[in-house]
Amino acid sequence: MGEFEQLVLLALLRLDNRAYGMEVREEIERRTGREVSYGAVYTALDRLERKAFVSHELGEATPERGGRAKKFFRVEPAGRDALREVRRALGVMWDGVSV
Amino acid sequence: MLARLVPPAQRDAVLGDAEEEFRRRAVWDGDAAARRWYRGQAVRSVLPALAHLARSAHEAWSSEGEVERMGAWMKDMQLAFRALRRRPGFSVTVLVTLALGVGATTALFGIYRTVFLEPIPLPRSDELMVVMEQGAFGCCGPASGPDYVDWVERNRSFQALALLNPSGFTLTSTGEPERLSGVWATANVFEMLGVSPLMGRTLLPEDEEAPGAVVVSWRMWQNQLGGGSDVVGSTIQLNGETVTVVGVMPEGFDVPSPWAQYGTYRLYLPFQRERLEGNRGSHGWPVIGRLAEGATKESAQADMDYIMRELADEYPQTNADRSAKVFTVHEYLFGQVGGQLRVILGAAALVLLIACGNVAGLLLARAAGRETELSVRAALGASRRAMVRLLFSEALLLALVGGVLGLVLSFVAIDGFKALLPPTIPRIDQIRVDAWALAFALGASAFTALVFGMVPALLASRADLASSVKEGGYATLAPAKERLRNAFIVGQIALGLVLANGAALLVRSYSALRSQDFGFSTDGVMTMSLSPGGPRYEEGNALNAYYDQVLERVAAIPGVAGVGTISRLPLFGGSNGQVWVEGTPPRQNAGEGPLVEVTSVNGGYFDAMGIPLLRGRLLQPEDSVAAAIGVVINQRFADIAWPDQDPLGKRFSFEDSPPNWITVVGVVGDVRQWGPEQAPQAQMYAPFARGWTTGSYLTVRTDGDPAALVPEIRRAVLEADPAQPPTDVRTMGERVDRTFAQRRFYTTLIALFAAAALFLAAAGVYGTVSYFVARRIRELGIRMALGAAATGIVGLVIRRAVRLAFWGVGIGLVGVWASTRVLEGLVYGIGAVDPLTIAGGCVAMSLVAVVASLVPAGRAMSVSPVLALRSE
Repeated sequence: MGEFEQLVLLALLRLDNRAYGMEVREEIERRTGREVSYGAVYTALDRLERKAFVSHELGEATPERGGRAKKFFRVEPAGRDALREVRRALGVMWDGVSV
Repeated sequence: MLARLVPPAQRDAVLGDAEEEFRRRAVWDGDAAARRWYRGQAVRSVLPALAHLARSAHEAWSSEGEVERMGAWMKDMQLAFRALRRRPGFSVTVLVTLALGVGATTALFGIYRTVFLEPIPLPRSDELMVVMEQGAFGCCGPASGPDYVDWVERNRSFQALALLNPSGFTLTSTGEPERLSGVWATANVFEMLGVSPLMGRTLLPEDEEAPGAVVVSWRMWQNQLGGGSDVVGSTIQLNGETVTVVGVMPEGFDVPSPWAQYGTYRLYLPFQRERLEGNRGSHGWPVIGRLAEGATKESAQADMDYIMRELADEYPQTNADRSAKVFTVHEYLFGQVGGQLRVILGAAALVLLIACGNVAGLLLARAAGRETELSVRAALGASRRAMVRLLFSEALLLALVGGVLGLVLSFVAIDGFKALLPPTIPRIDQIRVDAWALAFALGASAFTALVFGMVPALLASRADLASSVKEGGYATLAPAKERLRNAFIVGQIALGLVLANGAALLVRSYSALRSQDFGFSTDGVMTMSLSPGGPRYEEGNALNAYYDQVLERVAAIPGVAGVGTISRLPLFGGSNGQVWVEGTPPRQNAGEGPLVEVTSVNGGYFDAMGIPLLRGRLLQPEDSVAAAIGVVINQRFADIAWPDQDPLGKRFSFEDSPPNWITVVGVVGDVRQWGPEQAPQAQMYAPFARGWTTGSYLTVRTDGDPAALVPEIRRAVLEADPAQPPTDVRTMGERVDRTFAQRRFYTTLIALFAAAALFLAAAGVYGTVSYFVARRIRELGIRMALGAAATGIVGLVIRRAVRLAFWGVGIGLVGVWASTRVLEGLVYGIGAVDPLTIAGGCVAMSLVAVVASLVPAGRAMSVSPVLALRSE
């Protein structure tokens, strides 16, 4: 799992595990300070969904969105497992290393 | 753009998010910042989108079990990518050249498609025709009522013919008085166009018997009438009369009218049938029709020819020498602009071609630099096919990336072009880069890759082992390749000459047009349209009293130096009739005699416009007395009707039996009435009080800035009648400028393209000559060592450039000759074949070649023999 995919999963979890693209993008931007494009967010979400790490449901369509529905994503148990695994692996590897 | 970059499955969500955030940012940070952010989002979404595309493509192919073949291609692509990354200078040059070429062409294609290729948004719009009459004035004028009635009765080619009378209306029932454009049309027009109303009904035949019904457009309903569902049956005040809204047309509907291609009608009113019984010789109304089943434009034309011949026999007084002409609505509305856009698009395509030539030249030179590598590959057993594939992959990769960049650029360019486009271009608001433009960009890139990648790839793959070993690993082009590269340069110079010649002709035409004397002065002149109407003006003298008041009040404003009115402003057309000059033999019919423009003036019009009085006097109130009508004519009329005589006191008449004599009391200077490109016509200025013309423009000459006086002038006009606001307020200078907008647009673009072509051709020559110098550096070094003069070396190099230029110019002349037909309709004041311009173009192209070779020549001159020999 790539770094950006981890950021996306963590952002979803931070947002009470139910958020749509705009919120995810803002959360990552606000916390990491790097500029993120919708193209990148949705490409990552698409990849994560194929791996069954996240799932989505459609929300309401409001006029300020030009009548387009929101797509709410949530992290699935497989996604949480994968995150935990990454964290464990990183922890093991970091142990005793200083850079 | 964002919409096209995002994969379909995510499109809605991404666009929704982006739009939501855009709105929020617009509120917080302002519109400009929000737009900047949005553009940034779009640009940064390019890479993820491409990655996504590549992955899906890869998955699709893998599933078909072609992994192996694709694997080889992918590997070539990877190799190509690495190779290109190693030579960033080369890659960037090629990509920028391609992106510019593809970007400009794609943007222009987008404009051309929306403006010209899109059909009119009406059912079976290819069956819709415009029928115009032509007579002594040429093509094309509107029909008369009785002619229209006969057309309807006698024709076999049209399902229906509708007559239109476009007009302006003052709406007074909804607050501030407002001028709206509308059209009086025969009731059959809606059924003929095949569009049902959104609400209520359209016009009925009985509406033609008595006025009082109006069908409104969707925009009128939304903007002026509140958009409520109870609008049908409500009443509004138009020109002071009460009319009932009987229907609302759907969004986007409009009656295509030959005179309103740039505007839209808000109001559709019933043409009153009694008006059809007027004078057969008075032409005022354009006609549109839908072809009957099985009829074609040609058969309809033949049918109309026959009818017009019958009418000429029956009514020789009015119809001798008159004919009718049938156009498709599309060609009538968009034909001219389509022609101009095609020229621009053609110019852009030439630039793309020149850019391709450059890229091909670069690829060839690069292939030469890799001859050793290729020989080694061949020696190690690479098949020719594999090598072609490798070389072609590079070209393909460059073309694809260049194409994508070009596409991105076209989104920017189309906004730029839109800002430059004159407002007279129809459908300007709908212009966008759409799927067609996308396909066009893709096609253009594929074409580039195929033609200009394949040829060098094929040639270069014919690596000659022996020669490359003999050269000691030094890169050269085999003669065939060198000839090819020279041919590319020659082609670029030739195309460059064609473009430069066209651009020079257009620029010269433009400045010739701008600098000519129109016969009036625009300095400090403000103009606005007045159109008093309604019951108040129906009785006797009310209209004259209104204008007297307006003129008096405006003249009293401090800073106003002169004020008057005219029925039609100069440069903006008019109406005309043929006259019988007293003392010449009686006419056989009204279609004989000099054609005279009829205009009515009031107040100090000539002073306000700076039109000089040449003889006699200006109009006085007694000139409008019916028994002895006096008019002012222009010099041209005097020259035609009374050559070598004093025109003062001479008489002429529009009618024959009995004649209604009009006396010439003064002669003024000629004015271009029908646009900057039309020579002055014979013209007469009648006293406004005669009521011969409708419509009028107030012209005010001011001492200072005319715009500063607008509020006061407006107030003065409203004091005369609060229900009649002046409209179309512009300085005369602005109006003149607008008549040039379209010409300025295509002249600017073609000049830009010509500049790009010159630059690219220069780059091409520079590249070739540099390569020539680099390749022969050893030889040049030896020559220097043996005592050759520096000037001789320079001469050697420059001769090479001159030879290329010579061939390029020679072939270019053929192209110039071929381009004259395209240019003929666009140039003014000079011929499409102008020896001076052509000679200038030849010199310019040769100079470009020589100047571009100066740097490599200088390099050749400073070759140190020692270094040159050491490069062995």
